[in-house]
Amino acid sequence: MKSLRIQYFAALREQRGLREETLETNASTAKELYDELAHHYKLTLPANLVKASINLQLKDLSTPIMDGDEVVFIPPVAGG
Amino acid sequence: MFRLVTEPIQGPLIDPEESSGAVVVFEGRVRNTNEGREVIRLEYEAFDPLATQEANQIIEAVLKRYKVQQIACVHLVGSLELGEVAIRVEVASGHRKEAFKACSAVVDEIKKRVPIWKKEHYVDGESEWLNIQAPPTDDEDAFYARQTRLPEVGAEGQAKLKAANVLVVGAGGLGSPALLYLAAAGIGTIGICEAETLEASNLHRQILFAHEEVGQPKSLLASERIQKLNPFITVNEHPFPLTRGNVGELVQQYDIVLDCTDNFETKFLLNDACVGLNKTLIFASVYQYEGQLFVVEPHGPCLRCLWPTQPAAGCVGNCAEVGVLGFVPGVLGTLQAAEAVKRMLGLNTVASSLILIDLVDLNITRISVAKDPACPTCGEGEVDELWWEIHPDSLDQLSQFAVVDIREEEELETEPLPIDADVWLPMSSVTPEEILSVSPGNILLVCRSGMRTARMANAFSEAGEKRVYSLAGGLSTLRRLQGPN
Repeated sequence: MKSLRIQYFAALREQRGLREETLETNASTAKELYDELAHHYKLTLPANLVKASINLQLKDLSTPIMDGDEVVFIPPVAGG
Repeated sequence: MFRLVTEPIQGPLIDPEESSGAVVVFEGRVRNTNEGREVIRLEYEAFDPLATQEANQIIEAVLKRYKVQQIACVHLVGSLELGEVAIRVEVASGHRKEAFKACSAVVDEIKKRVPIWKKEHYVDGESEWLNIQAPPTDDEDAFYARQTRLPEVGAEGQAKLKAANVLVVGAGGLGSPALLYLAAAGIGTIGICEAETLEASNLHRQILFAHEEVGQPKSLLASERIQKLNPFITVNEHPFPLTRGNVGELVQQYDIVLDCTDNFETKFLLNDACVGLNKTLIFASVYQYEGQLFVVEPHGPCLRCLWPTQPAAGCVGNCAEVGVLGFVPGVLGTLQAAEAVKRMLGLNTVASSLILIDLVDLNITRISVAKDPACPTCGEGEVDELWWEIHPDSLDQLSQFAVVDIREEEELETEPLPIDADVWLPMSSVTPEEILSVSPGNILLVCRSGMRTARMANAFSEAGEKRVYSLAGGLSTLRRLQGPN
């Protein structure tokens, strides 16, 4: 198990119901982590519209995640 | 209408209707002093027919803008004695408020734009031609005194700002503070691209405007507002929606573009145009209490490095759907202006970073973005368009579709469809099977803005159904294609 710090923005934050959390997971990539969260919390945004930043660097969802990583999930936003 | 005359002016000029609750009359007279000098008579000279043509255009525009019933104006040319009437304007309208405003607007615009010149004869025997189009006499340097004091600005920095051209697309929640700060900073040329008219629901965040202006075109209002704030700059109005057909030509005229829009379609359109033309593009978007800021510099990472495919309209909520507090676009729009001004002064900017701002906790997260070699716009990739979104250039192109109006009953009454739909199937009660049974061929869904239909077409597409399309822009696209008649 690895422990990760996760932050959510915009529609994802709303659907998850909180801004950040620390959780334990067996997911090996950002994609696996997102799929796990999407399933668990019924997040409706398709994975191809979600960006993940790992330790403040924008990464592909296929990027492996490590114990202690800070992951930020970012959906596109159009309001103005 | 307008007339130039050589005989003394006599009113009335108009015959008010029974519905005219207000008639405002203005007379401009020859005054015995001007700027401390004693005047004995005046001479007016006009360049006709241009003067008449220009004045009539002004009257047409004011009639339309303030929705008054009648406007007439007469201007005297030749030699005028003290107390004689040089110009008379009459406005008839249902209510007094519009009549006063329209009358004032006609006089202001005529003095500014119509080629009529005035020569003053003074008591001491001297005389002088006056420039009616008087430039502001205030001290331009005094306007910028507090910012030129900064070592990074100075006279040199101020000159750079004056030489700059900035296009602001969208005069809304983001555009309001952005336009005000750009104008106040002295950006020499500011373009405003905005096609909408002001609605009451705009005002809690669109602080450029006033409640009494509801119903008027926002590009015009915004331009007047910032021109009043700073008379030393040039403001261009572009009162039309941005399309694939006009984006390049518009962006080409500017150095920096601010995306202050609220939809993915325009954001991606601007991204692709600015990358192609090597322009700096400063994006901002808001969602409830948070916002995103992203600056695309020439040769740097662009919006499609982040999101290669334009997300469907309505896949995440906009301000109208999920709500927003006014200060959220206020902060983000201010940051857009700050990025533009900093760039011109050579200060640090946030290029190559996506800035996420949460205004509840006041957290700012800065994420590095790298250029994607496979980016469809700035890299080797190909743009994968939303195949089901239709951007027609003429109404004829719709004939290949069965057109389905999916709006609700109450919407039909307030805004009838400008074309005849084949079927009306309100979204709230329709099933996918009912839509597919409309026609064995291609089906085009239409709603007010194109958002609901985008969601529906996307859902059909994901279910493997490849003949249901969405009309991008909805009703406004139909109105644009139909033209003014």
